[in-house]
Amino acid sequence: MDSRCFQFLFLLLLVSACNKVDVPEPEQDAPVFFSQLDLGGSPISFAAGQDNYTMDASFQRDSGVIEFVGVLRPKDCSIRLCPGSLRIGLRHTSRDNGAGAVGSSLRPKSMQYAYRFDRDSVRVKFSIVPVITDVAQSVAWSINGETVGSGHLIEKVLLRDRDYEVGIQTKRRGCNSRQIQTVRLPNGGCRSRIKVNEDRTLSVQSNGVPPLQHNWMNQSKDSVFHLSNLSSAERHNIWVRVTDANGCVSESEIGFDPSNRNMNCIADFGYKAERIINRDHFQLGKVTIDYIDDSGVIFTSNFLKQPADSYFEILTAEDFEANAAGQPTKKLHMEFLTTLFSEYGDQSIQLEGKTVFAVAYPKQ
Amino acid sequence: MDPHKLDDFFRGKLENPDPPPFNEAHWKEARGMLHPRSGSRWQLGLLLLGIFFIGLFIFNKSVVHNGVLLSEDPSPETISSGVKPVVDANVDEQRQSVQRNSSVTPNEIPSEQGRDPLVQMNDLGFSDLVQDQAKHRPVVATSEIHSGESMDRNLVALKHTGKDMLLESSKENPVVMDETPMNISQKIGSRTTRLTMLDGREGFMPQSSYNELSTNLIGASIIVQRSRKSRVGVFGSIVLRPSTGESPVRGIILGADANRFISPSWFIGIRPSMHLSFNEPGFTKFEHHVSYSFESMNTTYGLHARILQLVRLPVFLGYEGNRHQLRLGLALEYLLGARGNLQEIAVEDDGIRVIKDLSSGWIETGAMKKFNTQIYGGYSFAFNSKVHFGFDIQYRPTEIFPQLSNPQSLAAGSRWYMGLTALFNLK
Repeated sequence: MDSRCFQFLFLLLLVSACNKVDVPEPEQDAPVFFSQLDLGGSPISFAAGQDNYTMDASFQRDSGVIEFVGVLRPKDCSIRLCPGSLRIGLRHTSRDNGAGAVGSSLRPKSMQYAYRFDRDSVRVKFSIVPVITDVAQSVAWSINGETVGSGHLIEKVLLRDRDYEVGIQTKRRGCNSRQIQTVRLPNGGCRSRIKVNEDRTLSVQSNGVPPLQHNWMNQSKDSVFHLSNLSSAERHNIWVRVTDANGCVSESEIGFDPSNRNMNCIADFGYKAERIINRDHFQLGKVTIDYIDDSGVIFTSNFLKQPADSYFEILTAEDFEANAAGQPTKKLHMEFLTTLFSEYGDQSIQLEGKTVFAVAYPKQ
Repeated sequence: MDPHKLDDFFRGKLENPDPPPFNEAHWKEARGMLHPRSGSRWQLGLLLLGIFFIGLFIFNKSVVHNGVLLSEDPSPETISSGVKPVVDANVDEQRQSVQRNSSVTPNEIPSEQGRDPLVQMNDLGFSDLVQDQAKHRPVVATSEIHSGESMDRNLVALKHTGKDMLLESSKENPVVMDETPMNISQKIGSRTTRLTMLDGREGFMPQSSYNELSTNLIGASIIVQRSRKSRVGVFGSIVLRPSTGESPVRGIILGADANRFISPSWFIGIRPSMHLSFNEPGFTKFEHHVSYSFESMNTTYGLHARILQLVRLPVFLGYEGNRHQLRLGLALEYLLGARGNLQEIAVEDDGIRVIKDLSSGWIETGAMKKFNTQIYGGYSFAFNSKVHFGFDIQYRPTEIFPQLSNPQSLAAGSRWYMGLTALFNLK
């Protein structure tokens, strides 16, 4: 082989030694969309692309207002909110849904939670319980000693976290009676009513927590009041004050005529609390978080108004690739603390953490 | 291997409640069932060796049976001693014979009509060549060749020493002639051919004898090549891979051929060459990437080698008889580089599906086996002293491509190659 052959081989070696095509180096790629949360003290986390989770970015219209929606959910779920899903909906800041408003909706900022009912106040309806068939001729209601009404039925908005002493005073055929209940909305409070027994004694029916302390009008501490000491020629008003184990106080007073049972009278009332509906139908610029636990129970932030310590913060917002439907999306990094409620508000749990979600919006 | 065979083996062992003591023979038996392929390579080697020697035997037979060319001189001294054995005592006898038979003076051109059909070889000036022989030039002798007679009867053996040939009309009466007359022959009429020596002298030969002589001299010239201690040429091969369903042309091999004779028919050869292998089906590397977006996206990259650039060095033992040549040996092979594609692929149950080509060019070969050894065999036929055609068979016991876990179509037929080879001897 002459030198030209060696040169040829050398050139071949040179050519084959450079510009090598190779497979891409393995990268430690991390999920783009994820949630790292604390649910009532238990950490939970999801990530799109792991454990068969997917990020479903979309938008919808509710009451004419666009809601930008991101759902991190199992991929093989046939319904949208299936167990193990987390949904975040951000309502548009304006009803016109204008192009410019998308930017104001999906940008770093703090947001308030949407809610359906007032959390702190309830609407309470008080009504007389007819113990005796005759209708009372006059009724006077009082709350914490202040007269608040005179009808058989009254409605008042009360704060959920306060105790109220609600009293009623009735008069029937010249017979006066009254009752004072402690209304404690979260757990019901306490209520007492005097009962006339066949053995000419009076006892007390109370829903207080035993042991009960009785204080009769005559300073007696007994649970029973004896009528035999009373004169039968006149009408008597007898009352008792009952204090339960929790310090809940209630009173009951009856009008008693020993000579004519039909002239007796006793006051009693009941009440029903109703949540106060949020009349803001559009909830512009508000956020809703829904979490569906493994058993399928839906917990939502959109029930009662959130406590004062709740927050929702969009930390970053950036454009992301279009979703499967071709809609433009935003990648949002968010942090929040919220209280989630079950459907009827009988369960609540706190959810805190951070998420990176995608939401879609209409093409401009 | 028949899977039931192994099942039966273990079943038989399990059914025996008393396990026998460890028996090395049994273990070898089981191991043989599990690893039958290791033996098959030896069997393959033995098969190739068998084919080689059977071919050798057949070609030997064909030389004797054909008789067109010449059988081997049983005396190795004749070959090894070069000119000398030819210029021995027979030379004087030949010279006398030439002089006895000479009826036409050298350089005299006889007329067509007056020419006796019996043309004597000394008409060709062979007697003068004999005299040249006496001057220690390549030996030339002469003998009578009768018109219409077969050359087989006269040319029993043709040997060559150095650049010249020895034509033996018989053992007792060797005929030696230079190959140059055939280069300057001229046909005169339909029956006679005039032969002109390089030095201008002329002679005549019957056409039929000339034709036979001419045919034999082609073979003789081949033997002239073989008679040399070494031989150098260049060759090219089109590599075929018969078992592939696509185009069977899988590459070319270009290189040099160098032979060194260790006996009149046996030689050792090397063929340093460059092998470009096309249409390779194998993947050299896979890489699985998981990227994330709305969900995870699995991407599998494959490095597909399409063209392999190899340097080969076959070293072989060859046998050459008549116009036939057989070779068998080993070829060392080094992978210089590979061209191919980076592809996005999908590994499926029935193979690999290419989704798209991403780039192409020289590819990384780190995962491939750079050094390989091949079993090399070949056959060629000499059309003349310069040009040989034939085929090579190569078997690569080892695999250049890495044995990847994914199913791929690189296996079928990739270890066998066949090359159609043309060789041109330079000297």
